[in-house]
Amino acid sequence: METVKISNKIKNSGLRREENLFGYLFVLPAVIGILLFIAYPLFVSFIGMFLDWSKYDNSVFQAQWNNFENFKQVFGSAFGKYFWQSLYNTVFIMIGIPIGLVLSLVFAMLLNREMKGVYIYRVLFYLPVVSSLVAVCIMWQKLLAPDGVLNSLLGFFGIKGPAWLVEEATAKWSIIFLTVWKGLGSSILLYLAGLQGISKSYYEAAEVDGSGAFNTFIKITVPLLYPTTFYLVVTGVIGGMQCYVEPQLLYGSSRLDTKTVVGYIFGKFGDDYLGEASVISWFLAIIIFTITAIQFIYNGRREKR
Amino acid sequence: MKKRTLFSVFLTFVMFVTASISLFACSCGGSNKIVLKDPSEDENKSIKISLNCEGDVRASYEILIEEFNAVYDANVTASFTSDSDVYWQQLDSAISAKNAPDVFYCDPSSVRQFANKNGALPLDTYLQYEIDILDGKVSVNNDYPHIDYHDILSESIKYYTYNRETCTLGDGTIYAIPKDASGYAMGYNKNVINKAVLMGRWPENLLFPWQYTDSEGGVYDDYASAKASGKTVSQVCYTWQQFVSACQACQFTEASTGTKYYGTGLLDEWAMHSWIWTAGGDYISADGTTMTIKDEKFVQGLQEFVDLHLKYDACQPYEDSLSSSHYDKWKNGQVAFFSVGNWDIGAYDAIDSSILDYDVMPTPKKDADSEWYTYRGTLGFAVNKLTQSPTLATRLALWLSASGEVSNERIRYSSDSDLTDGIAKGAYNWLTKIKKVQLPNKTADLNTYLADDTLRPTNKQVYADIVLGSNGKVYPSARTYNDEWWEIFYGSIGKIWAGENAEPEMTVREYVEYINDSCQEALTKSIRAEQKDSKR
Repeated sequence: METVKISNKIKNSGLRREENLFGYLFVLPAVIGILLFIAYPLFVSFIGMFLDWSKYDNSVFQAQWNNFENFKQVFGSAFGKYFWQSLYNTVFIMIGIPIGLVLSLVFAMLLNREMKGVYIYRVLFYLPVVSSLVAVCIMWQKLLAPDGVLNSLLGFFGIKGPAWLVEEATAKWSIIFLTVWKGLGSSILLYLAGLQGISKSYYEAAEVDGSGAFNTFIKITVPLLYPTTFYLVVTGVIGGMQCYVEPQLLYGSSRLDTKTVVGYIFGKFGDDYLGEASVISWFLAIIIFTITAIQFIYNGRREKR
Repeated sequence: MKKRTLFSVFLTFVMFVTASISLFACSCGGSNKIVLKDPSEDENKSIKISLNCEGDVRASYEILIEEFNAVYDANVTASFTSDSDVYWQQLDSAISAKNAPDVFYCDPSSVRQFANKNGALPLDTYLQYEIDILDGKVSVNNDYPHIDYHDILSESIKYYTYNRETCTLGDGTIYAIPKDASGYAMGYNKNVINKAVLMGRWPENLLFPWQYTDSEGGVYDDYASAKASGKTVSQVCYTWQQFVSACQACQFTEASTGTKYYGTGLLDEWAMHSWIWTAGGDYISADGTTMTIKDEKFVQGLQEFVDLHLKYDACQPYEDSLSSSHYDKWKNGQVAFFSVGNWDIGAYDAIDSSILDYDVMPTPKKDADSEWYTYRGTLGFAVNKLTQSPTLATRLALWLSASGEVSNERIRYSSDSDLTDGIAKGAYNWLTKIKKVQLPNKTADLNTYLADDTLRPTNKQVYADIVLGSNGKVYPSARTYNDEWWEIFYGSIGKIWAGENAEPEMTVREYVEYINDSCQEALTKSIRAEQKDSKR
């Protein structure tokens, strides 16, 4: 009884109020930042979906209400098909995510072994991550040119390589090659950390039980690396859906067969159709949110099991 | 009562004074002599300009701005951006945030947007003020030089004149001063053609690009002899068929060196229009409301351009250009015919003539009865509507566009320079004569330039024909309010091209049928947007 009284006294004392005040003051900059740079833009772009809105308007509230016209323009007009194409292009390029995961796991396993010069290999694999994306794109343009290194190699085996960057069938694959190569280093690094966190006792026990290398990999390594894989998949999907720079640098903004959703939003912004840009942005955000939510739900259920 | 009388006296006095002042002002007007304080003296002398250029163009503008600062007692700060995409994005953001520099670039497409969205200042008043000073209608107490915008090519001014009520370009208020007028002529490298002649590949009866003809059938071997004849002569202009023959003759591998030479190398984004226009086609109707790409003439022109690349073995394949661009191969002396923009003359002049011995000719025309057409470009200098220094900013735009030599004791060039202190060289000298990066903007300067045989190319008249309007047409999207229709048209044009291993997905006819409705919808939408914005 006495303890409760003392506690209430402390709760209502000037000292506690002062402490609370300082607490609120400390979080205030972050709250203001969130309100200004996240909540307000979200609100404005949401309203903007229903407005005939120009970037030259002094305020979004000056714009005229145009009901669902922006939705019609994006999804239903004669050139709505170019939006769906940009979405298809974006999803297609995301094929690079599983490819990158498999490759980075394989390389991480190799680099996790004790061998001579392993640190040099690790640095080499990480180099693309720290390289300038512009320089990387120019290099890949040269590599994938008709008389570039890749086609010269193919020619060595008697295969006539395609014009990778020109033909529609290979243009998106060129972006996938680039993104996988560029992102491999950081995935390898995370998998390496994950691998080194797995206790050796699991492997010793498996060896005692007569488990083969492949079985050990499937039954021990892969499940214990799941948190890393989960993280890489989630960040990969979020990043992949927002892919923009690589196609832009490789092909410029004009080609529709390599234009991604973010590139399409950028084009709408450039043409001053801000309402349409808002519709696509929200559509993209909902897709990313849904996929991420499904991943988290699946992960939650898996952990419960 | 007393108060009322006093009030009446006061009112009469006020009316008397007002009438006297008015009459005095009228009499001054009659003698054409108003002494005014130049508004630029009250304005903030520190203004900002944003430019998108590099290399020799940037160097020229840096000096021109220094000259302007000295001549007009100003303090202009310039910011330069070399990446065009970045420049326009930043400018767009700055205008919408009402934080744009005092002077900035605009083009025939953006000037309509800037005018409608209150980004660009209507310049008529300020331009007229300069003329009034020149005409002596206004006297000012300073020695600043003044430029009459009527001296600038009217063919360029029209792209920056816009009527917001009718949404018409080429009529109404002036929103920008032309920064330049430019164009693509068809360049040729004599060295490659001579090699083809020596190898016996050059077709019989096909005139050389450097030859001239007169109406009586006379043929002259060069510009000098044509000029000396005193007759009305015109340079050789190939038909499509002749151009293909010439290009095929020049596409070979030199046995002794193994060097591959190409007939031509053209980028569709800039060159295909020539083929379309000369065939009588166009992208949109004259009134700018309807897509005309399904027209048979359009299809014929574009198909011929595609065939030039895919069918005739006369051209560096597009996919080859990704490893070494047409431009690089041209500068390396491996291409016989190439689109030569006048802004590149300085760069080409710097190349040894044993590699690139070039001159220019008109772009090919469909047949003997057709007219040739090519791309004509222009950029302008707009003044920010919110500028605190509209008179000075307008003068800066005029200075960078059309200034000539001006004596001013404040001009001091660096000690290692061979330029004369006390004389500002001005835009024509820097940009056209010294750095060779653009054509003159003033009519008189253009005539001087054309008559100057020391400046290359020899046949400068081709550029005059382009910029004076008869043979030059602006970029297709420059005719419309925004370029969404063009992004759609050009964005999928890969379907009519093919790599070495693949057939084109569509013929030109199939492509225009496939793309027309989308382009039309985007065009209609842009017209609606312009009409809406013009009422702001």
